[in-house]
Amino acid sequence: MSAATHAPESAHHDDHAHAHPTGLKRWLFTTNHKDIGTLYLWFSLAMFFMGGVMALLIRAELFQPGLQYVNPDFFNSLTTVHGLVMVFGAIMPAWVGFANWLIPMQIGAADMAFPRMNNWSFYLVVPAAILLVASFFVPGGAAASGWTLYPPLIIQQGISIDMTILAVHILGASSIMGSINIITTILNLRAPGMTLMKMPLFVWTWLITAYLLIAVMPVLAGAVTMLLTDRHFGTSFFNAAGGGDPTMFMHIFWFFGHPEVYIMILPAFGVVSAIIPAFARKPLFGYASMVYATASIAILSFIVWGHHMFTVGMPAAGNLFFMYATMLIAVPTGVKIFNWIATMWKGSMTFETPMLFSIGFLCLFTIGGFSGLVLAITPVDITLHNTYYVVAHFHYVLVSGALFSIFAGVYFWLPKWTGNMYHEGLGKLHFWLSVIGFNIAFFPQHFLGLAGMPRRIPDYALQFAEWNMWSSIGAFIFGFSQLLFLYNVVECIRSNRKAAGNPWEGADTLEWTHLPSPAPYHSFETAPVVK
Amino acid sequence: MAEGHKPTPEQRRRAVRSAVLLAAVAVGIYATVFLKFIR
Repeated sequence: MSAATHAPESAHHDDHAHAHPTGLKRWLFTTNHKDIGTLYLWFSLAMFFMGGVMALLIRAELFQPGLQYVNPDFFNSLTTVHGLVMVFGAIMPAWVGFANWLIPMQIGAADMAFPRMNNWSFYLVVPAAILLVASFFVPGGAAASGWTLYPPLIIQQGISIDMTILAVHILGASSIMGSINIITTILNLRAPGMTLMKMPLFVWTWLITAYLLIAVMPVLAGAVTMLLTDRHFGTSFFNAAGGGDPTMFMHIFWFFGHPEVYIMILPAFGVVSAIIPAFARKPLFGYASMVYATASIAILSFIVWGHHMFTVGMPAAGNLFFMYATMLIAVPTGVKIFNWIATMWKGSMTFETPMLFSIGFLCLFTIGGFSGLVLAITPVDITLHNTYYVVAHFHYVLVSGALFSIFAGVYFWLPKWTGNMYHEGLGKLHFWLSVIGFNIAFFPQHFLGLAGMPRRIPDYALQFAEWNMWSSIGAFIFGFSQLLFLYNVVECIRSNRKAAGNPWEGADTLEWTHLPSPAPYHSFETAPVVK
Repeated sequence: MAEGHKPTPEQRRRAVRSAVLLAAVAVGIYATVFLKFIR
């Protein structure tokens, strides 16, 4: 971890007194990495609540057997758009928001390498999200194929699919632009002395994530462009009626889709690697092995896509390859889990909200990892494919993995972002309600899946009724407890509980050691020198 | 307005070079995926 030589910049340096754009103009035309980070974070919060409302509609429908509130077509649209909104609208933009806020400060740069492109990246995301959500209101309803957009169904639906395809193209372009910005910033604008192996782990995880994005977003874009030409220009890439191959779409989609999971989870590893040492008051155990493990996970993510499609009838050798390759990912992931636990070992630990969410992440993400290992076993997966076991698995990875670490990161850096401390009691209440609600919602889904309940259905057999009821109760506890998070963030911004430059005893990266709270509009007058 | 330190001209040059290279890689991957399946 980096040790800085300069004294913290004085709070008087804070250039709030100096002129910079204000009002709507500031937010529309801003090229400041902190402003753009803030825009991304608020946007992702709005999308999180939008996707959350869809989730609660799904769980309300599934509270008991039979059709209650929505028709089956609309239910399918809900599951599809919930997935797309959460992946592309909530989790990914949240991480880009963190990257914008933190990377320049953590490497001692003044801003991102291409600030104007940074602004464009954000303002591309907004119309894409509007297209996705607006597709509910066009004839035929929103895309109902699942977030995987599988043909042939996707070729047959109405105009909402074109809107979804356009949205995915725009989001891909935005992600690629953002990734180019992040890579060029990290590789070219580091402060003197900030060698690659001194970079905070969050920066490392984002560097690797950005490479993943550049490698796989064009693959998704290629696949959905082919869907578009199949729909409107008479091609038959994936249309079996014209000699195409729908299974090929699955291969291409999952070549993107599996690395996409790591795009959402690697920055989470970076956040947790910042928080656990800070609250254990010990340096991160095994820094170098964390970097190599992150890179290994990213590389392995390119050769495991077939585990999403064991049931399509691949040759046995293919199934075996994907099974063993998938299991191999447990090794670098295990290295990380071991290192986080070793960091806490004999540390002077305290349990403020960021640490609670990080420990929650550690325990629950590990459960998601283990159920992933179960699903990696080909014959088991053939039984569990398309059941609620899979739904339980990926929610343990993406909610208690990605989302919990987003909460952890927000609570950890709120003092630096706003200059104020959040309400610790409310933060802890948010954590406990989230953990309890989340586990009540998703743990029973393992039982439902093992008992054979298929996913993406609005109605189910009577024997699944009890665990579905519990799952819905948990989902509502989890969903409504997120209002506490919103309240806590807004209350923090408006409160008078002034935060010190470094309110966390064990935090040692440049934004804590070199900058006051809130971080000034322009971070460093002169580049800090890192020893 | 007090501004942060600016990147040096050499840093800017290297950043532009990296960005062009990365953009070319992205376009190349997109084109490869598409061209691979055009029969």
